[in-house]
Amino acid sequence: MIKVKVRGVAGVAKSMGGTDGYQEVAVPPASTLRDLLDILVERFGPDFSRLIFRENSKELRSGMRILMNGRDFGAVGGLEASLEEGDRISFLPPLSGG
Amino acid sequence: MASPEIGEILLQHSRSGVNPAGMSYRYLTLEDTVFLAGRLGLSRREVEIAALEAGVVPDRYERNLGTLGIAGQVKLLRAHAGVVGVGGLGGFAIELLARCGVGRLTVIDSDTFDSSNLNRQLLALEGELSVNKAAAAARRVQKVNGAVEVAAHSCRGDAENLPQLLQGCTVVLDCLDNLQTRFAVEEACQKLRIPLVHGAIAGFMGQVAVIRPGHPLLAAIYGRQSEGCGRGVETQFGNPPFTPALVASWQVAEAVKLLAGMGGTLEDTLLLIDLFSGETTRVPLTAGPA
Repeated sequence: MIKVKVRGVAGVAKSMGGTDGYQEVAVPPASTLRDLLDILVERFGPDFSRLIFRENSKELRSGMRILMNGRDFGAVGGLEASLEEGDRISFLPPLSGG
Repeated sequence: MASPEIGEILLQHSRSGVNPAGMSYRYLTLEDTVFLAGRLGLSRREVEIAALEAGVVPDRYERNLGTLGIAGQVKLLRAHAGVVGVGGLGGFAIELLARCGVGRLTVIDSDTFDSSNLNRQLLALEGELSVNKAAAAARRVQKVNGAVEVAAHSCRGDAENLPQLLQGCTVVLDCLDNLQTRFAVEEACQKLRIPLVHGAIAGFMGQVAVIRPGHPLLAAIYGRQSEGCGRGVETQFGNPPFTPALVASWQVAEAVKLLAGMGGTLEDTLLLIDLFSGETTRVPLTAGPA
């Protein structure tokens, strides 16, 4: 198993156990970001699932940003991005009001 | 007239006082600077700069100096801030920049005020709905600090016009409410090599980031531009008045630190502020193209 660090920011923290800082999650070697999301849905339940996925779907909601090591996940391979030991994954809501 | 002579005249007209820290200092009142600008044929901004360089404090900035110092205040008066978007964030940001004494402002917004702006936009007034926002900002700045020189552009910023409109700025504040224009502002600032202070709000949440030349961050914050939706979660959570006031203050503090060369700015970091839980979070970002 390898360990990655996950955290929910602002409104997302509540659905990830209320912890604002990083939490370590163990995943099998060669896991992808998609595999990690499955593990997190299992760990945190429907509240987290509702924030990440569209209703009754495995498609990501458009209103959620996922950062891998500080970069948008789309720029590093999307859901098929391979995870490595120590990777930092953040979930945050997109704010754009002015 | 040579600047040492101007400094001498300003010194002669200055008054003696003691500041709240108990230190003696020389100062000019607002009336003095207006009178001296007319007499010397200089702009008020030029008089204030010359006075500070002669060790004479325009008293309107006396409470800035403990934070900025005389050298920092001179840097602000010589600086040029661009503010794109004159809504919730932009209205407060412009007010604070003018009161700080940032010497030149370029403000850009094509919109006019409507009644849904009254809950949070400093410049939205019941008697002035349908007024152009950029023009209202220029009028407000003249009332707050007549030494500040304002260029108001009543147009929508886009990839074509922003490089020209923002030319000469030494910092730009992103106070927009849509992603398309935010990306256009970042692109223009990268092209012109101007630091950009990003701010955004939704409900109880706000965010701030300082985007340096060569380090574009909006793609990390919002995803690639081509995939990005036009708006964020503010469509769901709304925009109450306290969030833009706070985020605009934070943006202006970052801009002032940049302009005064004070260091300590938020770089390659997204600061998220949650006014509901009372928590702030820093998310390290990796720069990359949109």
